[in-house]
Amino acid sequence: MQSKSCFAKLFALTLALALGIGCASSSASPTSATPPAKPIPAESGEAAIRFLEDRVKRDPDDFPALNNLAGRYLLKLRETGNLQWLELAKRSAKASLKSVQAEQNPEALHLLAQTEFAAHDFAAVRDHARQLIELENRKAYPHQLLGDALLELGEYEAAKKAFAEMEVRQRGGHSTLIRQARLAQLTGNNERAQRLHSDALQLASEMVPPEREAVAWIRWQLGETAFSVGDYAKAEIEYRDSLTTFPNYYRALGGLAKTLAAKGDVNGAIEQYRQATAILPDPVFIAALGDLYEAAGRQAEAKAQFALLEKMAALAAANGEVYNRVLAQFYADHDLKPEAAYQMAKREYDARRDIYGADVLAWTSLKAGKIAEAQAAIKEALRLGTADAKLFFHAGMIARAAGDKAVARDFLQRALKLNPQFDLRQASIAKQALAE
Amino acid sequence: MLSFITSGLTQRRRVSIWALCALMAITIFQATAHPLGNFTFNHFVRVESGTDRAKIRYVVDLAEVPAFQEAQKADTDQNGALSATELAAYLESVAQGYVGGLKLTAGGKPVALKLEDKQIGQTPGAAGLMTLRMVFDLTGDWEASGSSRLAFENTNLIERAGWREIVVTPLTGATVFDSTAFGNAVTDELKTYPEELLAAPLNESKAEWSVMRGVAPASAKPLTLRDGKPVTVARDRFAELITVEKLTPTVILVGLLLAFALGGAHAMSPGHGKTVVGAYLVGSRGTFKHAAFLGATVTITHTFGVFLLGLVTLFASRYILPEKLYPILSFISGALVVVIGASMFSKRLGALIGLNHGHEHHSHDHSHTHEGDSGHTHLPPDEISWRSLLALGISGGIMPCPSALVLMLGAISLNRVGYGLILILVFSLGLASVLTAVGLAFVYGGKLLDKAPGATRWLKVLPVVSALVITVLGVAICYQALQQAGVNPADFWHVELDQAKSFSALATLGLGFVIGLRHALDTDHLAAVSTIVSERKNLFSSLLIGGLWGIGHTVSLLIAGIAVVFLNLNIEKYEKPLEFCVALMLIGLGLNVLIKLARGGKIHFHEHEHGGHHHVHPHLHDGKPEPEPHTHHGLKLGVRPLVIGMIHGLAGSAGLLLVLLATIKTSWLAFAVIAIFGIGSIGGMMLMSLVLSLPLHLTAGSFTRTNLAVRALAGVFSLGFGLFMAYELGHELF
Repeated sequence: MQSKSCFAKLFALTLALALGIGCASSSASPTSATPPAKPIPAESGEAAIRFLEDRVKRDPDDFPALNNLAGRYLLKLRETGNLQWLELAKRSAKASLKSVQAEQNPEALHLLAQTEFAAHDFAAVRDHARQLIELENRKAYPHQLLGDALLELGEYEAAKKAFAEMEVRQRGGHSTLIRQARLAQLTGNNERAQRLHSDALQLASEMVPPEREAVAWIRWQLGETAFSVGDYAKAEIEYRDSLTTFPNYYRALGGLAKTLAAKGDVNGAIEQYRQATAILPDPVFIAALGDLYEAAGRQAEAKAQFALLEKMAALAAANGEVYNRVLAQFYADHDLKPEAAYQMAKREYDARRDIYGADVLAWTSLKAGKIAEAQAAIKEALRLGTADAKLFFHAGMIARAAGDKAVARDFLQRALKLNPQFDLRQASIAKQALAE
Repeated sequence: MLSFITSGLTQRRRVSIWALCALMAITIFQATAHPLGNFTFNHFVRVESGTDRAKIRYVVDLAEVPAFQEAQKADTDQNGALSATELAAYLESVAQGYVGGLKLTAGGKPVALKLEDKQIGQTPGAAGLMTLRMVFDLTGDWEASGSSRLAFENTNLIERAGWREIVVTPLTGATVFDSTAFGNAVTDELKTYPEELLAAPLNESKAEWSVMRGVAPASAKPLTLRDGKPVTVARDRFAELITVEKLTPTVILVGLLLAFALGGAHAMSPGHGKTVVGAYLVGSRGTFKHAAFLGATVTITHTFGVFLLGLVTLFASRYILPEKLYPILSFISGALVVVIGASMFSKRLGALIGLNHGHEHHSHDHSHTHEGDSGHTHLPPDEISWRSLLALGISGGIMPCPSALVLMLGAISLNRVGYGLILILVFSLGLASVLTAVGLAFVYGGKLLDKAPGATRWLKVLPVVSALVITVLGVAICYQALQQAGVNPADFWHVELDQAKSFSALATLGLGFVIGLRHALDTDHLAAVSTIVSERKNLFSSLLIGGLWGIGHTVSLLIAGIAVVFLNLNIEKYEKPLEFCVALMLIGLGLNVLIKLARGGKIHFHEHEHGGHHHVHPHLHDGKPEPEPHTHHGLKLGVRPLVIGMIHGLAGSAGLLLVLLATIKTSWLAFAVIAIFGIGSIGGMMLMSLVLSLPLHLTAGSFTRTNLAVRALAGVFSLGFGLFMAYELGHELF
């Protein structure tokens, strides 16, 4: 039972982090009905964490306790997005491995790999996943871990194979469905993605006891998919359901705010983003809040948000590189520091060659005046046939800069048709460009 | 002795480590990271709970991101920095919100919290950002009803990530039990966070506890510390006597006997002036009658003290808190003792060295006459008076034993007032019996001494010493009282140097003086000086030695100061080797004294042996043969302490000096500080050598053996401390 619930957590975690920053899109309408949302009580993790901490303080070699602790810290991380939990999880996983080696203690290696995933060190996750496959080939989780890492590194064919191996070993779990949904999304089949997510939600809701974070995450993902195809009404319902399941869940707070903005409710969106940034000052939220203030004519407050983002960038530089891609995109979106943004995106893309990395590189290259590089990069970003308004918009703007008006027009139209309010700031730029 | 040595050393070590920390803070500067990251709101609450009143300290610490956000609101002139007025205005604007988020209920009824004080400040955090810290002090009062169940909740910013800590402690006289909160804090009011490898941040937003006066019921779960151990409140056996279930004659009898025994035991615990009483009676050669009178005074005063304080506590507790009353009484008692001691000391010292009479012969005659006249039954008016006895008795009894007070209050709340009063009376009797017995032991011990051969000289010195002891004890009591009142005189000695930054030039100079004074009292300094002083009997020359030491100390400090200020030298590097030299020097000094002693005192003592043994009269400084031993050491008197002081100045003070200098911008001020520091240390050292030499001085003429013993002690002390220091430092150096 321990290992089963652990798997569920792991799947949810890896996906949650994998998808947290990227955005997906689709061209289909949702079909499956989802189970009604109800609040799921939080696990009483706090007392357990204290108990386990006390235990390992008295016996630093109690590796089952250290593993348990690392798992609970990781859950806290998924629930709050607060990277400080990552540090604690990493420490306890490492302490566990120090007391008992990976050969006898694969769980600790798995936990360590999850912390590496959260820290965006995907190459390390890949290597550790391969080591875990050596150790526990018959189990599904090492293959799942490998697939998740490869996906982030842009090795889509190899990732697909890994997920296939995973499915052979664990058929029909919600984690498996989530992986398939992700693949469907990347290849432009949003309808299938939506259906698979609904099925995954069904399965996750039937778990006893249900896992709050896993259910809330899938609901949020349903909202994301609905949003990406411009179905804001459905997106709002999904996000609200997610918040019913898990009040103050930061992903859903941000999603709801984004949806309200897309529906034109600027003040509601501002309030919602304020709440979200209070829970977690995610740079994405802060940038969006700044844009909203600007749209509402509240220049001073917009400036304050952008100033805060600058400070956060400085803090992020001190904390690690998790937010680099977000910052690069923010700079490009706001025509700030084009060269620095380009360098950041390039460094990122050198390390992981996924389509969203290619997209940010393309977008920052355009802003830095490197049109040829932008064209090459956006081609890479579109190579899977992903249906995402932002990718289309960037492709359109790059084609426009290159003087290819017909292609530009086509991409911009596709972007606005798929998701007319894909971004408060960029959607209106797209419309302007199209009107010229 | 050993603990004295080690505590001396740790203190010293602490100074240099602290200096290092301060330096690091200046160069690197990095505030302790918030355990939940740089976007957290962190809360600390300490509730000090009484039965009808609570004091609450609430600290909010905003990490970098929220501090930046709030700073944008607070920065009304939009200049990017927060002035003191902007901060104050911001605090004013948010205070009510924060205070409103704290909920205290007593017995289910909400308690209104009154904001007594508030503060705000910024500290540098990560990435060049500031963090914001606010402190709120609140009080709440409610109608007490025996024991009450209290609940506290901090509802502020509950949804936001951060450290949330609640600590509950009892106010004086109250007992907290069945508490969901712990009795000790993890953070230093959010100034430092634990740096454990694996520790999730605290998340304490609610607490519930019960509180009552006296002893908690047996079934109650006592308040515990975070490690699970109970908060150590010494078990109050006396106060437990009143809470027995049923009062049968046997229980009462046992209770009375126990009360008497506990009273006696209480008298043996420190702080009840046994020494004062003993010293007084011996010094003034009191009798059984005096001792008995003293005992009675103590009993009556103590009993009435408890009654009075109990009544005051009961009826005036809304206006005066017992914990405020205690130090006042304590202080009165201490002051009384100081007055008695000081007046006796001045009289007796005058009599002894013959200042009052001009010549030692005179004083000798005088003392002879009154021994002859009055014997031991009749007292000369200037030695012992009923009035001073009464004062002394009151000072011994005025300070009621806290457990007696708790018992009194318990008796009232249990409607067993009569029994309680009797218990207290018996308790006081027990207390007084022991005090009297101690006094009598001293009296008869003193009489035995009287009969011993050659005791006359000893007896002449004893009153002076006893008066001194009384004065010192009185000062100690006053000091304690001040501490209890929250005025900590020690704070002045431990002023944190980083505060010096904000001091004015004058205050910096004052600080230099105080540090200098304190510095002179460092153990290694005392060890060194005591060896030199132990060879002097002349008060003046002791004073001189202290002064010379201080001058030597200051000279080398000035040299070091020049090096630091003008050459930017890093003295810290040489500190350890120099300290090692000090250790070697201490060993040498100690050995020197001991060797001299072993050779049989060919120094100035044998001179006195001739005169001092048979006759009472030859006095140390007035005696004609005295100058000779001084010239014997004539040259060394000047050079030795000077050199030793210089070595000390180079070694121990480097860290202290560096820190101080680092905080001072202008070099003239830096040198002024060194000079003032020097004057302070010269003064301190003179004082110390005087104090150190007093016992020697007073015993030198009469008891060569005593003197030898004291000198040997000084030698051994110096040697031992030197060896210890060398051992500790050797570890680090080699």
